[in-house]
Amino acid sequence: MYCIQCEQTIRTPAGAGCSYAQGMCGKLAATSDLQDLLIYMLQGVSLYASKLRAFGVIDAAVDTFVPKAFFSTLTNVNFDDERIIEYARLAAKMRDSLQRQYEALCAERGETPAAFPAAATLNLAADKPELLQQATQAALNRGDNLNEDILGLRLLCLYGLKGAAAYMEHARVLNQVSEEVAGRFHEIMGFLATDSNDADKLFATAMDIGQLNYQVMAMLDTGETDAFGHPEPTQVNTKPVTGKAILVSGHDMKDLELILQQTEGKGINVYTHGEMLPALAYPTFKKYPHLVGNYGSAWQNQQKEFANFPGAVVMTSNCIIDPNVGQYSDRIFTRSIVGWPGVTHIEGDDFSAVINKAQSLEGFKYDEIPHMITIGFARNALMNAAPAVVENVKNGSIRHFFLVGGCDGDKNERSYFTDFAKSAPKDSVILTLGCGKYKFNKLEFGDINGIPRLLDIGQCNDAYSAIQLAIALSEVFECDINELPLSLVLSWFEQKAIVILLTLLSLGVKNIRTGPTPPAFLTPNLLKILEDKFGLRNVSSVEADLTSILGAA
Amino acid sequence: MTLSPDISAVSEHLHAPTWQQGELRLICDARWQETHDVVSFRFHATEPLKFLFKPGQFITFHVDIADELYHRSYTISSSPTRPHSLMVTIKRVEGGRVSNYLIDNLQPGHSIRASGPFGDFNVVDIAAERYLLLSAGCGVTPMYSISRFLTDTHGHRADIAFLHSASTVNDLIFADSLKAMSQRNDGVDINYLIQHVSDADELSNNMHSSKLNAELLTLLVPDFQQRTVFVCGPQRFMDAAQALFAACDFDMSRYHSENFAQAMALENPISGGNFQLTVAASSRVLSAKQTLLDGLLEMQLPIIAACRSGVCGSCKCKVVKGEVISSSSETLTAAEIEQGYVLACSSHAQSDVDIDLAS
Repeated sequence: MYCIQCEQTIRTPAGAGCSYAQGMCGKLAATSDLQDLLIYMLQGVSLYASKLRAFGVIDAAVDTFVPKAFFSTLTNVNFDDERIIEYARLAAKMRDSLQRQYEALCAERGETPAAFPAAATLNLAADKPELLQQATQAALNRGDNLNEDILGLRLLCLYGLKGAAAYMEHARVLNQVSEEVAGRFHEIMGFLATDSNDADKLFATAMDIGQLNYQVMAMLDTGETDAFGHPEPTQVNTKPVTGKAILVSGHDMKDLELILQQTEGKGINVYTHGEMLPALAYPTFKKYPHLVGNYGSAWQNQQKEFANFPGAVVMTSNCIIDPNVGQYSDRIFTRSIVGWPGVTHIEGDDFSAVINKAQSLEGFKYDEIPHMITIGFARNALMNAAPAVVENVKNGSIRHFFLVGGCDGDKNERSYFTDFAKSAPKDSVILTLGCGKYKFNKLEFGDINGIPRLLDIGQCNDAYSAIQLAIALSEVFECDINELPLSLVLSWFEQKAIVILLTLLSLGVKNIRTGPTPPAFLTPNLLKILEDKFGLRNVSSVEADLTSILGAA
Repeated sequence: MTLSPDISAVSEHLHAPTWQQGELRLICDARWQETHDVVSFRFHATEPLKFLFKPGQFITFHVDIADELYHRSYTISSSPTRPHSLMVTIKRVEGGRVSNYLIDNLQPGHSIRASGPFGDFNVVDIAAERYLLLSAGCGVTPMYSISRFLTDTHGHRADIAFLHSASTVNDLIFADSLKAMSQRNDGVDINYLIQHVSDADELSNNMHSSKLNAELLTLLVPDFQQRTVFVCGPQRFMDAAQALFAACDFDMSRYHSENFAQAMALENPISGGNFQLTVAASSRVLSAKQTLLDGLLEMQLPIIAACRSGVCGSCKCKVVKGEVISSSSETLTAAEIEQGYVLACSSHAQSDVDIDLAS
C-alpha cells in the first residue's frame, strides 16, 4: 500500500505516507491497493472517453460513473473491497465498450487509433489475489527513480481531481451535469494516466483542476438552491429531544429530503450530523417539523457520538470510520459510494430499513437543555447583509474578516483553530464553513452593530459563497480580492479541501494559511514554490499569525 | 389529572424508592423568578422517587455546553421533608458560564444530569438545639432548606434566628415563604439587613438599613453566643462575619461556614490572566476560567477527579511553585495545606504554577 492523501497519513523521519498493513484511517492495505487499481481503470475509461469526444461521442453514463467511482477512493468513504472490485469491473466493461466504439470510428474514418498508456490496456484478473498482484502496476508511486517533486505534483493533481470528482457527484445528484465539465475532467484524468514528468505541465494542470472545480462548485450551488431554496439565517438546536431518532451524516441533502419525506407522521425525529448541519437553514427542510436539529459534531467524533445516539444512522457520503469500535455497525447504513464491510448499504430511494431500525431502538428518553446556534449565511444571506457589512467596514466598526474553516480532524494541534477564532479581535468577523467549524461554532462571539461576528456559510463546497462575497466586496471597494481586509485560515484533512485550495489559488487568492500540517505529498521544494508564488504558508502560532495578519492589514 | 378515590395513587408516591447518593437524571418541571436575577428550578426524577439528603447539602450538575462538560454545584434549596421534588435556586453571575446558561436555557421539560448530594454544611452532621442562620445574597439557599426542614420536623420547637443580608429590598429571595414560616412557627425569627435603601422603599419592622455589626447582632439575636451559627454568602460577607464573631469571642467550634459559596463566586475566577501550568516535562497555558484540574485533564495526566466539587479529595496535588487560589480545601489536613497540597478541581492559578503529581 502507498497512500498519502490525507492529513493524518503516517509521517516518519524515513518518509511519509501509509505504506504498511493498514492506513491511519483504518483502510487495509488490500483496500488501498484495490482503490489504486480502480483509479487506474477509471483513467483508462477517461482516456477513451476523451478520444471519443473528439468524434462527438458523449456517453452520459460514463460521465456519471467515472467521477462517482473515483469519489469512492476519497478518504473515509469506502472500505469494502468487494464494492471497489465491482466498480473496477464496471470500469473495465465500460472501457472495453468505449474502446470498441473508438476503434470502429477510427476505422470508419480511416484514422489510426492513438497509442494509449498502460492504464487503457490492463485486463482485470479473475480473482482478488491476482487483482492485488495487478495493483502493483497501478500504485501511485509507480516507476523507478521517481523524482519526489514530480510525484508530489502528480498527487496534487490526482487528489485535487478526486475532490472535484466528489463535488461533481454531489452536483449530479441534484441534476446538475455539464458535458463541458465532464470533458475537461476526462481529459485531466487521462493526462494523469500518462505519468507525466513535466513539472510545468503538472503545475498548470493543478491550476486547471482548481478552475474546473470552481465551475463544479457553482453547479452544486445552483443544484442546492434550485432544489432547496436559498439558506437563510436560522437558529438551530444542537441538543436532542425526546423520541425515536435518525441521524443523517455526510453531504448529500437529497438523501436527507427522502428520509424526511418517508418519516413524516411516523413519530421519528431526524437530526443532522457533521456536514449535514447546513441543511437546517434551507427553506425546503424547514417545512419538516420532525427535523429537530443537529446532533454531535465533526466526523472524527462519530465513534463516540454514533455510539451514544439511540437510533439509526445514515452515512450519505464521507466521512465514515470504523463502526465496530462503537458497536453500532448494525444500526448504521451507507449510501451511494460509501461502504463498510458488513454494514447495510441502501440502494434506491427506499429508506424503510432505516426507519424500521429507528423504530426498534429506544430513541432519546429526555429533552436536553437546548443549545441554539445560528447558521445559514450562504451566498444570498451574505449578499443581503453586504450593504450593512460595507457600512461597518467604512465606519471602522469592522476591521478585518477571517475565513476560518475547512475540514476537522482529531489531532490536538487542531485546537489552533479554536484558539484562533477565540483570539480574533472583537472588531473582526469570522466566516466559517466545512466541518472545521465545529472547533468553535458553539461558542459565543457576539455581534458588531447587529452583524453576528460568526457567520456560518455552510458545507465545505459553500466556499463558493465565500468567494462570491469576496468578489462582491472587492467590487464595492474597487480593489483586488487580495487587498480586502480578508484572511483565509484553512484547516484541511482530505481531498475536497485540496481541490478547494487549488480553486482559491487558481483564482489568484494569496496569503492563505493552512494547517494543522502541510500535505505530506508536497515536498519542501513544492511548498517553497507555493509560498513564493501564492504566499501560501502553514499556520504557526495564533499570536504570531494574528500579529502578522493584522500588522500587515 | 383526575384524582382517584383509590389511595394507591398516593401510596405509590409515598412508597417510591429513595435516592440517597449517586448520579441521576432530573427533569425540570417548573422555574420561576425569585428576583430580577435569581431563578428557582424545581425538578423531579424520571420515575417516582423520594430525594433524601441532609438540609444544607448541595448537588452537582453535569452540563455539556458547546461540547465541554462543566460540573457545577448548587445548594438544594428544598427540604427533604418534602421529598418528591428537588429545588435549586440560581443567581445570574457576570461571566458565570453555567449559572447563566441554566438561567437562559433550562426550561420545564428539559433534563439535566446530576450527582450528589454532597457537603458537610448541614444540620444533620452539625446538629444543635438553637441555630443562628446568617446569609447574604444567594447564600440564603441552604438556610431556606434548613429552616423548612426544622419547622416541618420540629414545628414550634424549632429555634431559629435568621439574619439575611440583601443588597436592596428587591433582592430578597424567598421573602414571602419565610414570612409565612415565621408566622406559623413561633421559634422562627427572621430579620433582614438591607444594604441600599431608597426613599421609596417601605421597610417592614424586621428590615434594617444596615450592615451586620456587633451592636445589631446583639440587638436582634441577644442569645447569639448560645447558638450554633451557619454562615453562607459571598466571600466578602463571609470574611466580615468571621471577623465579627471572632471579635465577639464567639466559640468558633460552633461557627460553620459553607466553602461552596466561594466556589459559586469563583465560577468567574478572580484573576483574569493566562498562566503556565507545568507538570514534570510538560506544560500548557491555563485560561482564566480553567481550574488546575482542567489543565491537568487537558494534558492527559493521570489524575482522578471524582466529585469535581472540592469534596471528595481525589484530585489532591502539590503546588511546588507559584500561587493558586482555592475555593475548597476539604479533606486536606492542616499539614498538607502547609506543604502546598491543593484540590486541583477547586484551584485557579494566580501565577505560573508548577505541580507535582508524584508526591
